[in-house]
Amino acid sequence: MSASPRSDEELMLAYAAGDAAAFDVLYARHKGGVYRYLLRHCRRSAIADELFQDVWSNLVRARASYAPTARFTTWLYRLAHNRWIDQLRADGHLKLVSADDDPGQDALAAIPARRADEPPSRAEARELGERLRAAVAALPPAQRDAFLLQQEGGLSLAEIAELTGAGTETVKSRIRYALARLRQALAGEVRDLDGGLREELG
Amino acid sequence: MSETERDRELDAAWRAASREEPPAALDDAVRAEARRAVAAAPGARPRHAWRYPAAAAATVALLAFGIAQMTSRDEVEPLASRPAVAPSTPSESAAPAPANAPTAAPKTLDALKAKEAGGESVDAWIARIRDLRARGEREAAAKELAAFRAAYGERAEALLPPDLRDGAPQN
Repeated sequence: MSASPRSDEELMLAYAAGDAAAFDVLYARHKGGVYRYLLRHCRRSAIADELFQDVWSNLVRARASYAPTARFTTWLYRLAHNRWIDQLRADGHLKLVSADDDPGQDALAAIPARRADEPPSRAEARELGERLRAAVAALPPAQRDAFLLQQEGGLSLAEIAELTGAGTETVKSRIRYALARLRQALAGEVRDLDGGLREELG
Repeated sequence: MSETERDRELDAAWRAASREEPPAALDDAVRAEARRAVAAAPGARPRHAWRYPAAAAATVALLAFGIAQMTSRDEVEPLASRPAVAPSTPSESAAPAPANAPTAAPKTLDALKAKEAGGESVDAWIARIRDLRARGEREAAAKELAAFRAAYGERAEALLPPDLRDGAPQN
């Protein structure tokens, strides 16, 4: 019988007590989600890399003050969210965006052309991924943030509400709008291309 | 919208579309910073903490040995340069002098010999002088004897055998 894996909260407390190996486990669990969360917001990997390193540096510095009053994931994504907000502020792009703000950009316009030298199923799966990423990039920031916190961070509506300082109903609306826009952008291709996606994943 | 009403097809599509990972170099940098932070924290005891005091002790021992070597060389260093010869035997050169030996204390011939390092030993030098005399090269023998006395100064007479001391008959 194998021991159950340590929770994120246990690992973080162990790291705060000086166990560097605990950090490695935590990092391996969450690095991908945090990285993609920042990458989708920034759209440029160089900036995402910088913010990503800052987030983990902030976590390292704040380790002594960590208290497991909430899920570790919520705390981690709060650090990531705050770093992204700081970046927006530094760039002069920070503005309050309501849930129903129009992005002012057609997501489909940013979709690259399909590569003709690929097998259809694989090419279609690639195209679907590109459509999705472009559609997410075109979302209003607040909707995109809520969507990414749910998808990449695995946070609940209540956790997203707490983290962003918005009401739960507001978060719910943001995600609903985001999903509607994504479905609209994909124009039903999710269902049609499901087989191709499975092939790519397999 | 409830939590369970998420669009499973859209979720799957997103998981397939969003799969980037941070570059390996970034991984290394983050992990290294995390390790440094806990290693540098007050009261932190790194896994190999014993290495630091061991390294310090080794350094102190090396310094003590080096000082002892330098001290003993100074005490027997010839005042003038001596003829270049082959290094003394390993047992001679490797034998360290006691670090706490008083510098003004009288030294035995054996002790002086033992402190010889890197030059011709007293015995070898004396043997060479006797050899020159035996071969009739009196002038060369006298020069070597003078060089010996110059090298060892006031200790020279004590080091020389009776037949080579001042006033001894020269054959």
